[in-house]
Amino acid sequence: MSSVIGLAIPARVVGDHFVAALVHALAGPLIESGSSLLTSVVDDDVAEERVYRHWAQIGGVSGVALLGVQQDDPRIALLRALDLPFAGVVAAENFGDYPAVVVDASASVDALRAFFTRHEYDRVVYFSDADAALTSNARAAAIGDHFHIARFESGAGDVVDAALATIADGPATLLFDSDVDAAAAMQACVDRGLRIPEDVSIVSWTESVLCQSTTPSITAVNRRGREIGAMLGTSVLEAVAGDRDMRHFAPSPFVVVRESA
Amino acid sequence: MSDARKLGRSSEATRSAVLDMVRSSGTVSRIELADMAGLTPASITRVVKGLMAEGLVVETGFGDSTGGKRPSLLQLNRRARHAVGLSLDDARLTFVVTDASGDVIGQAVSRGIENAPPSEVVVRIADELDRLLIQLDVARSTVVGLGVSGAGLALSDGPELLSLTASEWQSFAVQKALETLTGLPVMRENDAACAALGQYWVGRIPATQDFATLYMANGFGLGLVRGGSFSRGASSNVGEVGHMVLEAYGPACLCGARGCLEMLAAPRAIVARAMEDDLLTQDLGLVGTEKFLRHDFDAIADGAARGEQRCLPHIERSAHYVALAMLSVVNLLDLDRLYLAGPGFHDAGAIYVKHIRGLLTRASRTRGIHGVAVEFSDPGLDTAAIGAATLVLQHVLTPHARAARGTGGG
Repeated sequence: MSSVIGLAIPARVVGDHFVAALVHALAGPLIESGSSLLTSVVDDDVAEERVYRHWAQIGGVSGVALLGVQQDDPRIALLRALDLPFAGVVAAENFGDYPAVVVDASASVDALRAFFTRHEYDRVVYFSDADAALTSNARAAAIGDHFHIARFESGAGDVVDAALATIADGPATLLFDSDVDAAAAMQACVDRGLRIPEDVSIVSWTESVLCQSTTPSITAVNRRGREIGAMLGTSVLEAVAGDRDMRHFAPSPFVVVRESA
Repeated sequence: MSDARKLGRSSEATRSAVLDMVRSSGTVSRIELADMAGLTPASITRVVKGLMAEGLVVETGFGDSTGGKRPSLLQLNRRARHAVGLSLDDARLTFVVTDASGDVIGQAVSRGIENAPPSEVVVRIADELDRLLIQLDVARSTVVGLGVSGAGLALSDGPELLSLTASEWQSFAVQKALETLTGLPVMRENDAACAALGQYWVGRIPATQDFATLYMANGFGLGLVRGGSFSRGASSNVGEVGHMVLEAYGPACLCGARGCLEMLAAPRAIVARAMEDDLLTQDLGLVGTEKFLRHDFDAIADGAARGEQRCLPHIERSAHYVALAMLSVVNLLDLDRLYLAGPGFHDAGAIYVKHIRGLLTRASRTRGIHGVAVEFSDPGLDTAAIGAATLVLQHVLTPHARAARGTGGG
């Protein structure tokens, strides 16, 4: 039977369209090489560790793909101890001596800043889900004080309330981590008779078919989830083949300009 | 709770309806259940005792007191049962394992059917399923069944009906073979119906809301959900939208008619037209064989999504025909909600949405009365597999729902 590459997905990012696109693309090179992709939804770090130990114990999982690798990530030592080859997606500043797809988090911030500067947007407020830490730690660091940051607890309605409160304080460009939040906030603005983008501009940090298909369509950052996923797949296969030091650099993100900003 | 939730006669229906109430309530006390179900507290206590003995329901703490002893709260024991959904597709096999509440706990994606004969593919499915359950640490005894989406129907739709592979699948009893190989109850349903059911279960859609899901893989299918359950028709073949005739003098279709949607707008037709352009064929690396159908189509759709001017007209032409078909569907059924799902919409789905929305806004008969929401299906590419698992969960855990489903999706 074909070899299997395992991936643990934190339950909190299961609905995230960036992760979904990445995982879908990750399966591509695996299937082409005759392998298959196994994913396991995990509630927390403890559950994730248990999954790796289980895979090592039963055998048959030949390699592991890691999402959001941090500095001194305990998963690295664990997988080495378990003798499971792996490759991960890692921010440039956390990069270590293992196979990885290196993502420059500041590049997407730079791309956005250039966009905002070019179009003379003054007050940009960034809405970040307090729970979604997979990529946003590195991003928050890169953002620094370039944008105002409005954190909100995940839950229905909260992001919409936060967005409306922001607009009540004066004209603003609203920037959202999630495309779903961006679409929900945009709908709330439209329902209140606000014009997009004349009264409020909306930008999503996650590019998806949702951004393409709303009316008006949503300007979004293409963070190259598909390319990163495909590179991660290739990277894990290389790690399984014995190449333990290969690194790939993710292509540059870019802003897809649509109707909402 | 509406009257639709009041219970039927048989104890099996009672058990099933009470379980569904626990599932959709999150946590609930026996008193609340008795109220919802219109049963005496003694009857509810008996039903709940049975469900707890089966391990399906557990006590999870205490609710607020209303004067006397605090009532204990019940909830679905999610990991007591599991279901497996499988989406059979040319490009990929997608297995999804859910817990009793329908939440996905893991999945496996492997090589698609390609041109393999069904006898080979079913053996591989059984092996991969075995392996997946072990990898996810799911005890086989807790798996209530395997739901299969796709299989045969989609492959037998298009002009390749007479090819060896397709006809082999058409006459092959997938369900029976898989039951023998896996030892699990197996249910099979077309991919559009599964995608619609997956949307209903996962998407928190109230049972009062009717909607249709258009599924696009190699061909088209339409899943129609009315009153919370899907319409099946005389031979379980509702939704053969691929053979809706759009051009009376159009190209002949193997179904016997001319100008069917499938002949005008399906990936096979798009690839054939694109390959009339030699340079484009070369630039995109189009192959043109059945095995590379999805690869070729994805290349064209991806090009169109990026705004490549030579790809765009091919996808727009397809989207135009799909929009015409959806206009008729919406007018016939007076729908106000339409979902798009399936791998065919992965790359260029937005172009299809725009065309459908545009045409419905301009021309739907009911446009003065209500709009029609056109959206991508929530769970994206796995809708059909999730729906297939849902089919099994519903069938085994809450069979009363098949007759008259009275509760929302969550």
